[in-house]
Amino acid sequence: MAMHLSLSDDELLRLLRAGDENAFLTLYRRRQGGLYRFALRMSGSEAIAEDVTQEVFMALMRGDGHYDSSRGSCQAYLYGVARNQVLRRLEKDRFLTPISDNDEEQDASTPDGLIALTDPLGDLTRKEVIVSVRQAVLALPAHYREVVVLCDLGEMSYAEAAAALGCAVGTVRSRLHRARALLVEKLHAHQGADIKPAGAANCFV
Amino acid sequence: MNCENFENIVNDLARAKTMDAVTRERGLAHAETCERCADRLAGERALTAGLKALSASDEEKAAPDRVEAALLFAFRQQPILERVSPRWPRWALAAAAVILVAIGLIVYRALNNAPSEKSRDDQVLATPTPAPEPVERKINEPVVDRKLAGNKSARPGGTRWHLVPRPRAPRFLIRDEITLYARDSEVASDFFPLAYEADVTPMESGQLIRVQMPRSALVSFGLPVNVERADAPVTADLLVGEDGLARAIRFVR
Repeated sequence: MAMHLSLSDDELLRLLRAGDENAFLTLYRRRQGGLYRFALRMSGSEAIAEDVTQEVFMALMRGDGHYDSSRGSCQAYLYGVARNQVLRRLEKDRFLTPISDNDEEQDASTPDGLIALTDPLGDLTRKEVIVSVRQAVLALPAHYREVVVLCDLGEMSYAEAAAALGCAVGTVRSRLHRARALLVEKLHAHQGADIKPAGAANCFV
Repeated sequence: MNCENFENIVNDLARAKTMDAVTRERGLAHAETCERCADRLAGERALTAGLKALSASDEEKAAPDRVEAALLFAFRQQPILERVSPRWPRWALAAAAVILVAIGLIVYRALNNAPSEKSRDDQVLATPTPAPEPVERKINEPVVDRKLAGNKSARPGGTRWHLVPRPRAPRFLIRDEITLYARDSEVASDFFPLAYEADVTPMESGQLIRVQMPRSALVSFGLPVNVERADAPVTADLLVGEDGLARAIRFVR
């Protein structure tokens, strides 16, 4: 197992397809966290995130999609599958499981480790900010949400996100720009003066 | 720098992404002189902080252990499943079709190079609409399968393929030849058409060629394979058009 840790995704995939269980486990443990969080941030649902993570690796085992290393990285392939699965689930569950607007439920998911016990006012503010930002991200249209989730929350580069989404880097950049502007507007509407949108006045200095 | 240019870099400024130092300095200098852009940058920075807080809040989240357990179980089952019901991807089927076509071409050319029979066949089929008498004679003429009759000198050379050349025949003769073949104490499957990506011309005439193939070829046509005899070749009749393309195949026992 330790030997596998130094192998690339592609090498692990090759061993995986030859039936190497340790290669499968290594690749799964390396990638499952990011994929799970991607699905969770896209859907706001742990159940969907769990299903999507499982389905991504099932697809990998089955060889669905015919991954070709010459066309992109294994990471991009996995995120591409995850994205398709999330969008399919969101479309399917659109009328069944609307995203919860319950603040208390969102509050409960904030880890205790992020709460500084010495600054209750700061904690409250931080929790409110997290809840507000999470709601604002979930309220974005899917094609804007995915670039925010990948680039801002997942800290992917524009190129990595573009590979995962199957679009041009410029598209990612412009979508992210627009998505962030929408988020600022939403948060401004929610929090008042804490986050200010662009002013109406224009200047060309 | 003006506001328009500033708008293009404000995201990268707020997200502290790597960028040209000069552009960065100019952007920050512009924000100091333009209230609107300063507000814009402040808003973007606040958003970045909020997104970082959100990212940190679920940084440790991961799929529960039961997902790994379920996947591991599925992974261990995978080889067994594949043995029970092998999956043939499209490229494998296409490759099988190409191989069959290549075999057909090789056989066709080999037959065309055969000295005596070819010339005799060409004489018979010199006219596209043969006179009734020769055709009738041909229909009634028993077709002798040299291999089945134990004639070891039917085709010299080649260790794996045993070819029994059939004379060329107009289309209406093919059915008769097939019937004659089937009259031998053989059990034959139906003919399976061989598909090609490109359209092929309708078959006017052709010939039936007996070949021996690896038993795994049965799988390509959805036929069961006797695992105990997996190494033994299987006998098949290839229906080859006059263009040399194999049009159909049947398996003979």
